[in-house]
Amino acid sequence: MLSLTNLESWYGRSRALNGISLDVPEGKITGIAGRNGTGKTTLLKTIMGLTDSAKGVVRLGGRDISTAPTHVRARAGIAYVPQGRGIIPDFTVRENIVMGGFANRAGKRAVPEIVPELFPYLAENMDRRGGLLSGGQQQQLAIARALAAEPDVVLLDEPNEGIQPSIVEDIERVILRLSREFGLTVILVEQNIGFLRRAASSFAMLEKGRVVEGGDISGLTDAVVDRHMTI
Amino acid sequence: MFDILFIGLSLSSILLLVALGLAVTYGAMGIINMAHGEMVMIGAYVAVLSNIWLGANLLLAIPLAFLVTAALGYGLERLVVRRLYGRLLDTLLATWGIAILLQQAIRLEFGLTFFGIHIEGLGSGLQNVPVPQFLQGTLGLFGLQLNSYRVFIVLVTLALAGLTWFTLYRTPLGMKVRAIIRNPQMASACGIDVKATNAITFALGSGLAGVAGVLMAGFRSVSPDMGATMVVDGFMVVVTGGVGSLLGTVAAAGILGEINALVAIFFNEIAGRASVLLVVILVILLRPAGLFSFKGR
Repeated sequence: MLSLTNLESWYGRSRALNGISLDVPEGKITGIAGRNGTGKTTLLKTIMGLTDSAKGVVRLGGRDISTAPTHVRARAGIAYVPQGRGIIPDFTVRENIVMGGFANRAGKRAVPEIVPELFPYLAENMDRRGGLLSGGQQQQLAIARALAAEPDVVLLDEPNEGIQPSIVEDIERVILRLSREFGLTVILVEQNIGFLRRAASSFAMLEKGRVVEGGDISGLTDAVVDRHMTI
Repeated sequence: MFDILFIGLSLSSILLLVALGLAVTYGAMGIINMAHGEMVMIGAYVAVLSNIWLGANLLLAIPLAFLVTAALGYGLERLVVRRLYGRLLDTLLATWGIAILLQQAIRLEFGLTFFGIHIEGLGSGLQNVPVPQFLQGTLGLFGLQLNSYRVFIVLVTLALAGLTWFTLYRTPLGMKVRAIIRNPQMASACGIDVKATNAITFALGSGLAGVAGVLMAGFRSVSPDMGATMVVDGFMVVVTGGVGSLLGTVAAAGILGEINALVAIFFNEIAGRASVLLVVILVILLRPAGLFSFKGR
């Protein structure tokens, strides 16, 4: 299980997280919601060790990884699908996926067998350059890359942002399968409350770098959304 | 005509050997390594010393120089460069200082001159390395008489450029390096140890410079300050070709070397040098990203 205790995080001298504590249930989807600039992306980056400095404790399966460098966290079983997808444009689709395998604990550097079933387009375009793919295809590619690490936990940062509706459905289906079929723990940053309610089992609402509401997904009521997300 | 082009080719080869290492460290790691020329110089001194003290010829000095300069580069990265990532101008100053230190270390024979001890092959004077017997003279090829040593330089360069290409594009290490060039944060989030990879990359780049030094020792005299101009040439090639593009580096080395040779023979050496600089300036003005830069996002 992934648990965060009193997490603080800085970019330079400005503090972006002000003491976040969160227990992420294993094998379930945990939704992170909140307005823009409340620290959702920073939370994922801090779990990954990608901010300038951080305080507090990050535990993965009882192991304290708070001071571990990013690549060690990745190899401990956390995969990251960032906002903007982080695809290497001059790598082929295959290279982009295989790159995720550097974090694979069994040392496997290969395209996971499940990829053709989940993302037929990728399987048919293995030698295409990643930069030539559409936003939605790149999102699929970033998820496939995360799967190449055979992780325990996947961090997804707004996977449906800026993606055409037909592919949004595909991606939502895949995210659900990640937890329900493959037993992965998923932290999902998402603005679409409808999808969060369908997919997540618990949630945390952020405001000013703090968790202001949280718990079982049934607590994500219209009143809570109105209070913390409408402008 | 072909013999002139061939001389240009051998000039290009030396340029390429110096630039290959820089293409990797500057392109991949964003480090302006002013001590790169000193790696060439130390490679040349490895050839001098192994000839004097081990009786080894140039061929044996190549792997030896690679090891020495790669180890030196590795130490340099761990001690100094590692702390300066993301601070381009600071790397310039720091590595320039290291370059001066290395020059003086050779000139003062690692400080032993102060104690009246002299090591043959070191010091501020000029040194020469004999070319092995079988590389002297000329080689008949397609009805042309080619200088054997120049042929040798071209072949070694081709082999090393091929090896560099293979390492970058066909090995896990190369994949790590290329991933770090494009997106270091994503690379580390994919489990790539960026620091360790950078140290190895820096060592390999330095090793290539060391080999260039050995080859240079075969046709010109070796001195402690020979590296200073090399680093400038190297950067010209890298910038002309396009930072981060191996193909660009190869092409730019070829173009600049040939221009240098052609103009130098039809006019003189100085005009050759000037025309190279002119071409570089034009390229930077008209295509600031270099001839073969990959498309940015």
